[in-house]
Amino acid sequence: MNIAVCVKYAVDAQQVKFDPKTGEPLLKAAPRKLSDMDRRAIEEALRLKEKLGGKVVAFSVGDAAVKNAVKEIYAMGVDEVHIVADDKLKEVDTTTTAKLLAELIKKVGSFDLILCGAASTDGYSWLVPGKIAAFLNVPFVPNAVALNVENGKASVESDMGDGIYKFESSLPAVVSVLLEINEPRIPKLSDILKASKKKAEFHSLEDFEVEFVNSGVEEIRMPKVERKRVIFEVKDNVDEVVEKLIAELKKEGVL
Amino acid sequence: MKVLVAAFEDRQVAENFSASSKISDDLVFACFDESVAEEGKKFFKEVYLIKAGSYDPSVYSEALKELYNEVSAEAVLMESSAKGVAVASMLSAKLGVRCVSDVKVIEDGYVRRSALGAAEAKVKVDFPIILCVKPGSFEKAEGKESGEIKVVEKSFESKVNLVEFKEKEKGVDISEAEVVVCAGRGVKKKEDLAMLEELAKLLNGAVGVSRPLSADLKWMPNWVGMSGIAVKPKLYIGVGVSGQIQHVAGIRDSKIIVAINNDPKAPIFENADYGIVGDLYEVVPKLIEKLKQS
Repeated sequence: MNIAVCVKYAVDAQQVKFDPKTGEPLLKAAPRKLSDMDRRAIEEALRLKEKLGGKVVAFSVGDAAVKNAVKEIYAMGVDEVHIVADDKLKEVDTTTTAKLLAELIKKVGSFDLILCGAASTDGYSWLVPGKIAAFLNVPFVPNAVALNVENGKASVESDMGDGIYKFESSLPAVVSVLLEINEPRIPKLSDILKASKKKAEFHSLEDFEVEFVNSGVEEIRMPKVERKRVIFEVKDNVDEVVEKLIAELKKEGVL
Repeated sequence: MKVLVAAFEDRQVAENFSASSKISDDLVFACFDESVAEEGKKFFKEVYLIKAGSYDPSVYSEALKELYNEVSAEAVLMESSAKGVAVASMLSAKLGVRCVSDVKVIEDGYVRRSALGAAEAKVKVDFPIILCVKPGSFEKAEGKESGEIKVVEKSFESKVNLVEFKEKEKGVDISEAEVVVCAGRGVKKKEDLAMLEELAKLLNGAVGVSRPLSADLKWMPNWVGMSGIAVKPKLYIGVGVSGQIQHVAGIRDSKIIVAINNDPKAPIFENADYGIVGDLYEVVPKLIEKLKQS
């Protein structure tokens, strides 16, 4: 059972600071990390490998900084990492990302299952996994919260908003996973040390015939909502504090 | 310019209609369920009910691709729900047409969507395009049409079978509530939600929970936040909510935000109009008591 996992070295949206005047994100200083749902995809792939054998191969495409994700991916226990890291990929649309990932997967080998996080922690487009499936011409099962592979079929429980859908899909297929699917392992120090010796295979962007589609994003701003920030602290005076709050809320006309 | 409008849920039809009306008057509607088609009739002259079996993004995107070409559409619009984006993503790749998801605002030549959690991106629109609109962001228009349903049978090879469907417990609709009381991690047990229910009842409001309480602990389906339900009440009261960026983005349109938390450093206080730093198990009962008196 060979499993491909697509991961994004995302901007850590929780840590991004915004220019207080313009509301623009200060992206250069923003820390990056493996996208949360993608870590779950790696974890799920490793669990399947432990059960069924085979190998887990991770793929990541993006700007030059993507190379910094390699150690963490290996530390989790992935067998191979393939990367396209090029600053030309900085502002591309999800179509370019997905097409490149699909081409890269095809170049490296044949896989029974392709796992992706359903959405990235910075972009939240939810579009890349389905596009990879379309480009690879394989079935797509989105939003997995449980996954099993038996008799050459994937059995997937998907959270589609209105309920849990239990799907059965032939393989190969692309399955995207949600945060709830598992709790990813935290690599041990020894794994991290071992991982730093492993090298990723870098592929050149020029090796692929992929059209550059621009994302069309013209600006990103943090909308300014001024809040009053009137904070009361309780110190043996809960009656008084609660009364003050009620008085304020009455003045605001919301009680 | 012809726009192909799709919907996967009855209640989304009105919003998808208002959103697509911002782009064009020449609208064609498509769906996969009879009940959605019946709703669609009230808004659209031309309604295509595609019979293509149970939900499968590969099959549904293939059917929409054919219809898109048949009616010579130049744009597609559907909801940015789990079902919508999965179909839209495949359709986008198959048609080679750019797709923008999570659209909250449609302007002339631009749309706005969320970015980096709580921020907003302005994205240029060039036709052809596929837009997925965020549920709750557009006006629920009134249906004044009496359209006609055309049934189209489409059969494609499906490699994904739906073997079982378990409907989720439906919570109260908190997206329209005037007062929202929201529980966060600071609330220790599920039973303690009763206290918040009592507070919400006094204020004619509804109770929601933050992501971990809904997704991880499964206390309630009413998950407040950017990727859950965005709320816009007159009064939001966060009880033991720390205020992660995704949560704050989901409550941003509230008129007044109140936070109750024992950690003075909780980011929710940065985004609150009024805050009480204190033990919620002391503050909330007191608040209930005083509200009953007043």
